Amino acid sequence: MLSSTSNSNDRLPACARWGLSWLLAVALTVLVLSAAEYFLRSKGFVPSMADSIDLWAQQRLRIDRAPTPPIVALGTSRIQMGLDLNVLERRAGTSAVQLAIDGVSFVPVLQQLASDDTFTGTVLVSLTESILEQPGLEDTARRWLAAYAAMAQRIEFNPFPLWEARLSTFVNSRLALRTEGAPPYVILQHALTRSGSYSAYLTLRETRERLGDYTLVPQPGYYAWRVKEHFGENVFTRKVSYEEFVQAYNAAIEQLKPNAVNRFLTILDRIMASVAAIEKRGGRVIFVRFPTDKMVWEIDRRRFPRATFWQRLVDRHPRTIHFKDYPELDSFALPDGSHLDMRDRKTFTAALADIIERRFGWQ
Amino acid sequence: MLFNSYTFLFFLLIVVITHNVLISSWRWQKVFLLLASYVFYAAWNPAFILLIWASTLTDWLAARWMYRTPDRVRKRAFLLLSLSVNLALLGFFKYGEFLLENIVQLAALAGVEYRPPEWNIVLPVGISFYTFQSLSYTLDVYRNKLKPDYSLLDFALYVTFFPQLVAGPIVRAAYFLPQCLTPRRANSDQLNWGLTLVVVGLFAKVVLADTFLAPVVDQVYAAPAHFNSFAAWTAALAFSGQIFFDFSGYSTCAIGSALCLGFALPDNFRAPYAALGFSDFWRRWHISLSTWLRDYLYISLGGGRHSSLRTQVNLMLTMLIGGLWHGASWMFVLWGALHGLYLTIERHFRGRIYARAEGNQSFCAGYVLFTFVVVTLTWIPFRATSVTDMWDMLSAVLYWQSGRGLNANEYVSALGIMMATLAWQYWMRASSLEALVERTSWMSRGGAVATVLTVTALFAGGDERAFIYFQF
Repeated sequence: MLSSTSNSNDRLPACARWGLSWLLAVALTVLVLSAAEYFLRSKGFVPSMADSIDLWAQQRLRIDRAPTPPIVALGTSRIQMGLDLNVLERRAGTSAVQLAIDGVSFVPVLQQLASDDTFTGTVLVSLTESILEQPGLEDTARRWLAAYAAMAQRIEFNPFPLWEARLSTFVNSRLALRTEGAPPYVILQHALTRSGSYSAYLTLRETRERLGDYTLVPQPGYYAWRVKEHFGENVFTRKVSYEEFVQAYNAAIEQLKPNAVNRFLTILDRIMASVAAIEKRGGRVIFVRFPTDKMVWEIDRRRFPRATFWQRLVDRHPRTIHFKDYPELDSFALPDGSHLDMRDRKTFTAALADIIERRFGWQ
Repeated sequence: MLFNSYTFLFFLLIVVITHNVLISSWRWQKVFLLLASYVFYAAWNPAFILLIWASTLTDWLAARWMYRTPDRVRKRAFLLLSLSVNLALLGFFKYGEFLLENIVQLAALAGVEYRPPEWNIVLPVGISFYTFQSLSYTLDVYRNKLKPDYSLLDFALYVTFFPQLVAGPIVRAAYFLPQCLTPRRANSDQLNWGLTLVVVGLFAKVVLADTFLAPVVDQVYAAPAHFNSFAAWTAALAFSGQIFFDFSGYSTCAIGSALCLGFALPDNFRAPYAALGFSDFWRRWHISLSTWLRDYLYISLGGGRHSSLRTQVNLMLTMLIGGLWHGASWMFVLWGALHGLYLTIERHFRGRIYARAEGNQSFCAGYVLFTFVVVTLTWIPFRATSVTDMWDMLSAVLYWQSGRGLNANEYVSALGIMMATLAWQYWMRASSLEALVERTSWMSRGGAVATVLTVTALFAGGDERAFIYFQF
C-alpha cells in the first residue's frame, strides 16, 4: 500500500542504523522460513516437483543437447515410477531422459521423435494397451509437445527462459515449502488445516523420475481404489468390506470380454511408422510391457489378451520385452497392482538392463 | 526478465555488485550498465534491441543537428525526423494491426470485402515507454530547455537504463542525463532504501495484486453476466487495486533498483485513490505519463491559453491520445475519453471544490470517495476485453443483478485490501513513505521489512503473471 516512493537522493529517509534493520529483517525472514520448512517436513511433506509442462519441456530439450545419443523413456506412470535413470545411464553409458506422461498416450511423442532428424537414440517405450485404447489421451501429449516447441524456439537466441526454468526447478526441488510447485502459503494452509501427518507417497525429482513410497498409503484401501479405477466402473454404490470388494470385483472381472482389436491395430500402424523412421537413421525402439499383478493384471489379461494385442506388436517388431516372459521382472510385489514401490526401482531397472544387454546390446 | 523472477534477482545482484564494487572507472561503469540493460531487454527478444538502437541514434543525432542549426525550418525538420522515426516505429508495431482491422471494418461497411494477410508482428515490450522517453529529449532540445551536449553513451544509457526500460517511470532527459555526469555508486543509505523499495514493490505485485486481487478480477470479468451485483462491485474494486498494486509495484521496484545503483528516478504514484477530483487524480496516477502528456501534448496543442472551448478540446484530445497510448483498442480510447470528459466538467467547478474541501473534512472525504468510485467504474472499459463484457459488467454494477457470487474468502480479502488501501492512501495523501519510515526505530523498520519479505516469499511462485503495463 504505497502512497509514494523515493525519487531522489535528498528524499532518502534519514534513518540511522539501516544496516541493523536489514540484518534483523534477513535474520527474522530466514528464521520464519526455516521454521516453516521444518514444520512441513515434520508433518511428512518432502520436496517434490510439480510434473509440469515446463519441466517436461526442459527434459525434452536435454535430448537436443545430449552429446551422445540418449535413452528416452516413453509411456505412463509405470515407467516413470519403475525406472531408475542413474542405473540405466551407468549400464548404457549414455544419458537417459524421462518423457513419460502420467495417464497419457506416448504416440505423439514417439511421432515427434521420429520426425526429429537429429534423434538417433534408443527409445524405451512402456506400452499399456488400455492407454492406447482410450480416445483423447493424445491431446495432452500434443499440448506438452507444443510447449517444448515454443520453449525451443524461445531459447534459440535467448537462454533466459531456460535459465529461469532451471533456477525455479533448482529451488522447487529442494524445499518442502514448494512441494508440487505450489506457493508456500498453500502448502502451509494444507498442513495447518489437516490433522495428522501428510503422507505424500509420490515425489517427483528434477529428472521427472517419480518415486512411490507405498508404505505411506493406507492398504488395502489404496489397492482397492486402484482396481476400481482400472476396472473403470463402480460395482458398489455403498461402502463395503475389503473381502466383499474382492469377491464382487473378482466376479465382475471374470465376466470381462476381450476388447475389439481394430483401434489398437490402427494405432499400431502409426507406431510402426514412427519406429521405422527412427530405426532407419540408426536409432532404436524397445517396447516393454511393465509389470502389473493381482486383479489389475487380471483385468488387462481379459480385456487385452496377449495373443490378440501384444503378439501383434511382437509380429511386427523384434525388440519387445514382456514382463511375464522374465521371472526377474515378474517377481516384484506391486502394492497397488500397477506400480513399483520406490525401493524396487533399482533392482527392477538393473534386471531390465540385463535383459536389454543380453538380447539387443547397447547401442 | 520479470522483476518477480529468480533470473532478475540474480541479475540485479550481479549488476549491483559489479557496478558498485568491481568497476572503478565511471565511464566503464556506464558501459557496463548499458550492456546490462541490453541483456535485460534481450531476455524478451534480442532482435528488438535494434529498435532501441534506431530510436537512440536518431534522437541523439537529431538533437545535435537541431541544436547546431540556427535555421528555424531546419530545426523543425530535424524534430520532424525524430518524431516520424519514433512514431512510425510505435505506430507500426503497436497500432498496425488495429489500423488494419478498422480499415477492414470500414471497407465492409462500404460493401467492400477486403482480406489482408494475417498480422504476425509481435509488440516489442516497453516500446511506448522508451519512445516517449526518448522523444522528450528531442522535444526539450527543440524548445531550448536542454543542451544536447551529452555523449552517445550517456544518451543510450538514459534510453535503455534497465530499471525503467520496459514499464517506466518515463524519465525526462533533464532529470536523468545530469546524473550521468558525476560518478555514481550507491552508498549504504541508498542501497538499504533501494532494496527496501524492491521488496515493497514485489510485495505489492506478488501478494496484493497477483494473489488476492487478480483471481477475483479474472473470475468475474471472464463472464460478468453470470455474477451478482455484489460480486461485480467486488471485482470492479479489486481491479482498481490490482492495477494500482501491479503498476506501482513495478515502479517501486524500478526506483529501488535504480537507487541500488546510485541513480534516482521520479515518482510515479502519490496516493492516487485519495485524489480530490480528477485533475488531482492525474497529478497522482502514472505521474510520469500524465506530466509527459501535459508538457508535450496538451501545452503543444495550446493548453489553456486560448478560449474555454479550445481548452476543453485540447484536454479531450490529450486524454484520448493518453487512452490510446495504453493500447490499440477502442476500449482504451473510451477510457481516455471518459477521463477527458470528467476533467472538462470538473474544470468549471474545481476552484469551488477545493475551496469547500479546505476547511471541511467530511466534504473532502466525500469527494475523495466519489472520485475513487468514478475512477473505479471507469476502469471497467479499460479491463473488459469486449464491448459486450463491458456492458455486462456495467449493468451488473449499476442495476441489481442476481447470479453467482464469490466465496467468502475472496470477498473478505478483496474488500479488506481495498478498504485498507483507501484508508492508508487518505492518511498518506499529503505525506510520503520516506517521512513515515523516518519516524520509525531501526527495530520496527527491521520487523516491517522482515514481514514484507516473509509474506512475499510465502506467496510467491504460484501462477506467474507478467506486469499489466508490459503490454502497453
